[in-house]
Amino acid sequence: MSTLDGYLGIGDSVLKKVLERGIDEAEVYVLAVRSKVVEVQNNELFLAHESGEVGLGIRVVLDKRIGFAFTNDLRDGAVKRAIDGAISVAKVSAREEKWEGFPYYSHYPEVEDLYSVKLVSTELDQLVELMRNHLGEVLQDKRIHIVSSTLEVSEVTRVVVNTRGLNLGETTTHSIFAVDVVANDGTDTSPVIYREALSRTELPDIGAVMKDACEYAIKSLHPVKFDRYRAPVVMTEYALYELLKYTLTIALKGDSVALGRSPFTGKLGEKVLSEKLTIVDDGTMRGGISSSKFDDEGVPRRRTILIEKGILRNFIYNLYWAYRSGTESTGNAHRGFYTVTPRIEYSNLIVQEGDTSPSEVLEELSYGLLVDNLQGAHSSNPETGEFSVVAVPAWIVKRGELLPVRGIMLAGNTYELLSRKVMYICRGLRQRANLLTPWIVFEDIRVIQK
Amino acid sequence: MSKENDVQYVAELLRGCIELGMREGASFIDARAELCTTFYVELSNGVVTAIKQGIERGACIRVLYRGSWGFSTTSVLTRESLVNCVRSALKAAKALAVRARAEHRVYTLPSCEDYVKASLALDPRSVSTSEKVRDLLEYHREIAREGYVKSVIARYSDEVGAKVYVSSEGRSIVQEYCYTWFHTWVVGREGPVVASVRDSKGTIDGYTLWRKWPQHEIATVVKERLKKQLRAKTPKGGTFPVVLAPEVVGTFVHEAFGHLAEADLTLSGSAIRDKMGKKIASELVTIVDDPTIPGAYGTFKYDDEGVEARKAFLIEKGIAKELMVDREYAAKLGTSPTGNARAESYRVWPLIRMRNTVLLPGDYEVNELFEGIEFGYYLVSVRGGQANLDGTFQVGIQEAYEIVNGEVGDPVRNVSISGNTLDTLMEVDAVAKDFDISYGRCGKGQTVLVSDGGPHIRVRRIVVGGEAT
Repeated sequence: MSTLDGYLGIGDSVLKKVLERGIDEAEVYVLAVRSKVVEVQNNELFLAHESGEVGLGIRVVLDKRIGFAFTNDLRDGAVKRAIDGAISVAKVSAREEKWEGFPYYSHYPEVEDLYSVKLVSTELDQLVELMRNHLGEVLQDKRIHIVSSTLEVSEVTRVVVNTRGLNLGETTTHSIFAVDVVANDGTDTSPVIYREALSRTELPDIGAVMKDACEYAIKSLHPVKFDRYRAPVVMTEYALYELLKYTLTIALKGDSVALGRSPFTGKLGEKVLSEKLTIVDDGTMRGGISSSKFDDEGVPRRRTILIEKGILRNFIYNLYWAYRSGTESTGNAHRGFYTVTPRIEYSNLIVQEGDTSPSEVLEELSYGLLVDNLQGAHSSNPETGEFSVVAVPAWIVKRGELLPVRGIMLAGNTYELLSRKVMYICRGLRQRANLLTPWIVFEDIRVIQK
Repeated sequence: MSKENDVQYVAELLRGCIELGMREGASFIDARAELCTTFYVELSNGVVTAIKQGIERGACIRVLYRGSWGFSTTSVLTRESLVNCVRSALKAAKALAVRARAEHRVYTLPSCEDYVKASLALDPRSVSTSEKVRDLLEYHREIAREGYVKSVIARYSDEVGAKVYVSSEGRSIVQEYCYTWFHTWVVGREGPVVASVRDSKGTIDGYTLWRKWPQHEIATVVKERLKKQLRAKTPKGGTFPVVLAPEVVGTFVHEAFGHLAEADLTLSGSAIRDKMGKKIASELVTIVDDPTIPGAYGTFKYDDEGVEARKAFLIEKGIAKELMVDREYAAKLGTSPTGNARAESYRVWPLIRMRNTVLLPGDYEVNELFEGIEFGYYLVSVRGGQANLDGTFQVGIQEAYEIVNGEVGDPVRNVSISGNTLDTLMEVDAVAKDFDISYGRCGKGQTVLVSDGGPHIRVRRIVVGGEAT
């Protein structure tokens, strides 16, 4: 397709304008996104949506001072103002003594299944049709209420050009389906059940995901009383995502370490978590939702072992924090949009699966909790790992039987859970956003019930 | 071309697109454009770690065609691009119309032409990059003096620009706006104890932040908060009487109650769906979503659907009175619009969002609230909060104290409160005279700036959790 060449051309021409200003170290990042979206709200097909956006971010370096500005107005005048902005910003920025420049051309991994012509040529009409059919099917059950649901297909082009001759472009596709369901049988309303599915090359199996969400919503009706103060807890990928997002995943980032905010600072090579846990960041995973050839600074994607059988092996870095820490970028620069500078983010964060079958765990637990999501995890303390969250939706597990419970609070410390209380790592990777994890069973968490 | 001319030119282009779309059979079309400049700086431990300037412009067009909605957005504000934009919105609406028998309606309004100028004490665009950085560094210097302060993040941002709203009803509105925002996150350590504190401030009248809250004043509050946490004990879990300070009340009325009264969430089964007109709170409780509070983030004349913003009385003396609506829910519920439709940017559809959600003050003196509490907690400042549609909530607290025999006692840390919102509102047995608001960001898929607040209140019983395993 000629569009990739077009965006590379925009990057080159802006870089040339920067060079004309006598600046010899700069980078231009161009992002172009085209999306088709269908939205359901309150049981109805609510909206069909097409959007297009092109914008660019400019980084200039003046004597090791980095400036950044962005614009989505690509007319000459606006681009000139953005370059001026980047220069004014560079002048007040701190001198980064350890800055060693933007990357040179390198070897880039070949990652398969990141683009599908078939996916991207799906017409909006087809997406509408699909959503309508599956919606109609689950709404046969009058207890089901689809609060909201979205189906999106997007094509994303990223271009990174810099004054060290880098000139990279990549176009990828993805599709995301998400749904929020509640059940109401006239006497009780369930909490919201959230489910999502993501793919690089295909439309997700909307029917299966919707049915799963509906099943769990109905299973959440008519709660019973929970009467223990401590219990073993089975956490699903949705609960784990919340638990880890505000604690462990912050602690394994190079910036937290450099700033002394990570409890893992200075502990490389030490055992910090349970030996049952191996955690990897893999930006080269075939078809991975965050896989690509290069990160948002043009550094090749790679596979980085973070925790190996409980032992801390690596942190993840972008260029800036790698230079500051005297190490190399792990290819984890992420922008999300052209309006922001690259920060450190996981590509595909993978918790290695274990060998316990999830259904056996549920069968064998004589009295425990199955927790499918956590509320309030963002108020966790990333430095200490302390958390105090509402487990919702949650069920008592009694030898395979699931009984819904509400108003359950879990309190504890994420790092202590992950180091001393891991009972089982289950079989089967499940995905929530860019986290791939099996269910994990913790042996003993403090529970407070109203 | 001057800024004002540029905005008027875009408005004219959009009016042309609307005419074109109406000729092709649409029943309602509206369009929004935004043209703005942004600035953001972040200091980590006194060093600039992130700083940027930006130029953003773009537009979106909504088309209602035979009861179905189509939507399209673009970042290119040329005649050609906007014509494509209205065509693809129309195409999207038609794709839905032939498959879904939707009957979306909007509450229509009379034609209106208005230009709302922002009156700025000092335009942030006229303040140099280096001056903004200097002012933020001043805060850093104030806070970094204490030995127990281990790391400080300080952020400042501003966004100045104009929004254009044009509709097929003949409404044509331009609103200038200006937001500034300050946020800090400070981590302290003393011996083995680590604690952190967050705080935010904001303005809507220009570069006035440091005049309203001088750097040393913010720093003093944050340092005190941190010091107390470092020396605090962990709370006993259980059910206790509590006194909530305005910041906690604000988060509670916003997170725990406010979302339940956003009409889209109410109708999808929130805990107050069947409770309108009924008593759902103590008669001391009146909660208003008020777009007129001077200087608050959620204060504006028109919302992002070009609707005049008015106060929404969510709870009046304990009775569930009205919901926050957009044009569509106003039509659906047969109520008058409240002006609660807000969009994060031109890239997204406006949603029903809160503005300034507050609990109105009562008659008590603040110190009276503590009287008679044998043992309880005084909760002063919030780390974060979240709630579910079924009316369960959880709020994390970053500054809290024991109340022992009617007196504020030792600080406690890692506290959170949780429970059922309506049960909790019923348990409010005293509301004080004071009043304060906070500045925050609310996420509902999109992020918008909101304020919330109220007076000190007392709750007879609430679940307090947080003791570590």
